[in-house]
Amino acid sequence: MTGNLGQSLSAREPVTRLLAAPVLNSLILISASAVVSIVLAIVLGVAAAARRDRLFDHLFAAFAFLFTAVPEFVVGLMLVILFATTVLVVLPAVSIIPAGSGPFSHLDIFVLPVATLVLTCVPYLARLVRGSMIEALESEYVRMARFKGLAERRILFRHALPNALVPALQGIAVVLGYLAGGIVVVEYVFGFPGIGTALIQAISFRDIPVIQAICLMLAAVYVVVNLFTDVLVVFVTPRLRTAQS
Amino acid sequence: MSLDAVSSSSRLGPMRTRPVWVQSLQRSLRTRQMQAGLVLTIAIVLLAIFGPLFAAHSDSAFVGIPFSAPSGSAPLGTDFLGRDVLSRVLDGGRSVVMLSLAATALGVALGVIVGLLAGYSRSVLDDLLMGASDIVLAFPQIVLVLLFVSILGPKLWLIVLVVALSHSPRVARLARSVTLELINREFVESAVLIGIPRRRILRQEILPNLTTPLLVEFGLRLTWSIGIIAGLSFLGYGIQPPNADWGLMINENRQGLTLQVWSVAAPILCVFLFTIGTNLMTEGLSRTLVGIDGRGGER
Repeated sequence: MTGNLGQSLSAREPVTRLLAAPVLNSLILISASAVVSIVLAIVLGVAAAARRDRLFDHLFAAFAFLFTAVPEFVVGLMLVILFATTVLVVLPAVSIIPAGSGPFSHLDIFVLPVATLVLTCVPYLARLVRGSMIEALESEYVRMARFKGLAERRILFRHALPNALVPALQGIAVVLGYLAGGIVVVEYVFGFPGIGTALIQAISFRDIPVIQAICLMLAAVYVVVNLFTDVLVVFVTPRLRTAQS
Repeated sequence: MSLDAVSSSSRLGPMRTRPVWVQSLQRSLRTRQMQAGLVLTIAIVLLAIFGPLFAAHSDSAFVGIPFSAPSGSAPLGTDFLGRDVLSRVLDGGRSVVMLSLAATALGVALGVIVGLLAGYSRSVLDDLLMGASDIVLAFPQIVLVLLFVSILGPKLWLIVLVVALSHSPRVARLARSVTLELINREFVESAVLIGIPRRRILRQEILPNLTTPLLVEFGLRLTWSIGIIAGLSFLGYGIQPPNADWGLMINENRQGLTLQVWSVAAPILCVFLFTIGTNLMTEGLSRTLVGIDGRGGER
C-alpha cells in the first residue's frame, strides 16, 4: 500500500498524470448530473404529490414508467437522434475537448451526456420524493398546520418537504452510486473524454494499472457516498441524533 | 414492508388455496401497468423468438450498398456493410432475450440461496456472506461484468454467469431481510419447536413467503439484465460480429447515423420497448404486493 497507482502500460506515463484530466471531466459530468437530477426530482416529486391524482400527476407517472430503467445508451442515442443528427441539429453529438483547452470553455459538450444521465436518474428519484411527500402530506402535523390556516405553500415547503427528504436521501445515495456506473456507458456513447472512456480504452489495451486505478475510484464513489449518506441521515433526523443510551 | 405470512405445512392438513405468488400474479393482471407491460413484453419476446423465421435475407447477406435508404428489398434500409437492417433486427433479439432471462433466473436463484442462508444462520456465516455481497455491490454492475468478460473472453455462458453474480447480492439482501422478518414469527418458531429440520423450514415455511417480493425483484433484475447485456454488446464485449444482435447493431451503425437513421433507431426501439414492457410488469406486480396489507410502499 503506497498510494502510487503505477505506470500505464500503453501510454508509458504515470497513471495519475494520465488520468488527471479525465477524472476532472468525469467529476464535472457526475456532479452536474447529480445536481440537476436532485433538483429536478424534488421539483417534479413535490409538484406531483401536491397535485395527486390530477392531470400533472398522471403525466408524471407516464413519464416515470417510460424512462425508469431504460438503458443509458438507448436514452443517449435517442437524444442524439433527436437533437444532434436527424431531427434537430442543435447540439454536438460527440463530446470533444480540443487539445490545449479546458472543459469549462466548451460547456455545450456537456449538455447531451448530462441530459442522458438526468433522464435515467430522475424517474426513480422523483417517484421516491413523490411517495415520501404524499406520506408527509397525510401526516398529523400537516393536518395540524392546515387547521392553523397556514398557506399551502408554507405547508408544502416548510412542514412536509424537510421530512419527506429524509427517505429521499437514501435514494440520492443510490443514484450517485448508479451514476458511477452510468458514466462508463454514457461517456462511451458520446466519446466524452472522462474515466469511462478511459476505462473502456484501457480494457481494450489490457492496461491493468489504469483499469485498477479507475475501478478503485468507481468503487470509492460507492463507499464514500454510502458512508456520507448514513452520517447525513443521522444528522437531519433529530430522533437519531439525540438518541442516547 | 410488512408481509402477509402464510404457513404451508400446517399440521391441520394441507391448505387448499393456490400459492401466494399465483394469487399476486392474478391480482396484478387487473392493473393497467401489468396488462400494458405484458402485451409489450410478449410482443418483443415473440419477435425475438419467431423473428428469424420471417427474415427475408440472411443476417450476413449483402443486399445493397452500405447505409442505403429504405427500399423494396430492404424495408428499413441497409447497415454499415450493406446488410438488410430489418432481417438483422428480426435475427438479433434472441440473444438479448435469452441471455437476460437466463442471467436473471440464475442470479435470483443464487441470491435467494445466499440470502436464506445468511438470514437463517445467525452466525459468522451471515457476516461472511453479507461482507462478500458488499464487496460485489461496491462495483457498478456494468463495470464488474465488463471486467470479467473482457479478461476471460465474450463467451455466452460467462456473460450469463457474471451478470447473474452481479445481481445476486442485491437479491440476497432482499431475501435476507424478509427471512429475518419471518424468523421470529410464531409459525416458524412452532415449526422449530416440533422438530422440523432446518432445511424443510427454509423450504416450506420461509420460501413461500418470499415468492411475491421475489417475483417483483425478478422483474426488476430482468429489466436491468436487458440493459447490461445489450450494453455489453454495445460496448463490443458481448455478442461478436458478424452475428446479429440489437446492442451490437446500435454500435456498428452509429457512424452512419446521419445517413441511415433506421439502422440505429430500429434496434434502439426494440430494446426501449422491451425494457418498458418488463418495467411496467414489475410495476403492476409491486402494486399488488403493496395491496396485501393495503398500506405502505408506493401510492
